Amino acid sequence: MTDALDLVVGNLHLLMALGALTFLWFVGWRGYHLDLFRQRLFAIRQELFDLAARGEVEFNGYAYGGLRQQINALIRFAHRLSFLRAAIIVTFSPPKPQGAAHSFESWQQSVAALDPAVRDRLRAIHLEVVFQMARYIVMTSPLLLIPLGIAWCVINLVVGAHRLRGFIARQATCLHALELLEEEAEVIEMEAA
Amino acid sequence: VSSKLSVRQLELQYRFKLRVLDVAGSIIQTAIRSGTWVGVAYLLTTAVGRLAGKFTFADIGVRLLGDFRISEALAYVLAIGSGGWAWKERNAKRNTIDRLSRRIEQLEQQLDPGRTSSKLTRRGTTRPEDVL
Repeated sequence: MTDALDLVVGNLHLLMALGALTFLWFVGWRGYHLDLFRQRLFAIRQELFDLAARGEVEFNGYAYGGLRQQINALIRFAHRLSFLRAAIIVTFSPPKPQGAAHSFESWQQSVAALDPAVRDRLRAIHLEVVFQMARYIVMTSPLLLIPLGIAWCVINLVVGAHRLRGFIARQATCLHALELLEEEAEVIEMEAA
Repeated sequence: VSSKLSVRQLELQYRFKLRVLDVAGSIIQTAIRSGTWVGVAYLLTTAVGRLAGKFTFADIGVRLLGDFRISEALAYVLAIGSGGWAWKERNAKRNTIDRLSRRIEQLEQQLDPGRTSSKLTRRGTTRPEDVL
């Protein structure tokens, strides 16, 4: 009878742990990164708007409108973005038809016609959007987060160890130089005596 | 005109295929989530079924609390604390979005009155119709 109770209590413990893990993952970690991603996209969109407000790019041009539309779509559907969906779409999506409207190529063409400084700024904003999207996908996918997290820790440990070795070697060189200086000073003192 | 039409048709086909892939992704994700909850429900019903008529809730409650180790309790406290911190941070992020969107909305009305609606909520939250 107590075996049955033990089993049930064990199951209940497992359920509670799973519940806590689900809460932490979906409400805590994933939810936090969703809001962080959206906040960063809003900040990027504001940067883009400021560029147009200063008159550096036209509000009606596709260079501004296309990028703004892309950012808005990402903010709106950020909750749907995941590694699984991205992997499915990247793997199975057909090639985009040539000459299609509102494509990345047409955005690039409209950006290429702008002043070089503005062009670079817009490309940097686009790159930042892509980087934030990739970051969000990695941070909300356990499949990517765990191996990349381990790789990040290993790289940091190796880099840290390399820096520490360099620091110790520099200190040792300094100590050796000091010893030589002290020896030289002793010789001078002895000669003077 | 015909070439333009065919490009448009190809574009629509392309969009349709993308939508199908998106829906497929959504179904797989929902299946994984639902499967997890089905597993949890199975564990729960097994537990309840084994104890039907043998033990009271008080027996189970006492045993459950008695089985708690300090390390486990600390883990739960840490989990709840982290969840609470994340919730607070999420609210802070939404307040920032609210501030940013209000500013941009005012300026856009002055500088770019012809713009269309972005269909975003003011606090950057998911609209109920966009959930799935």
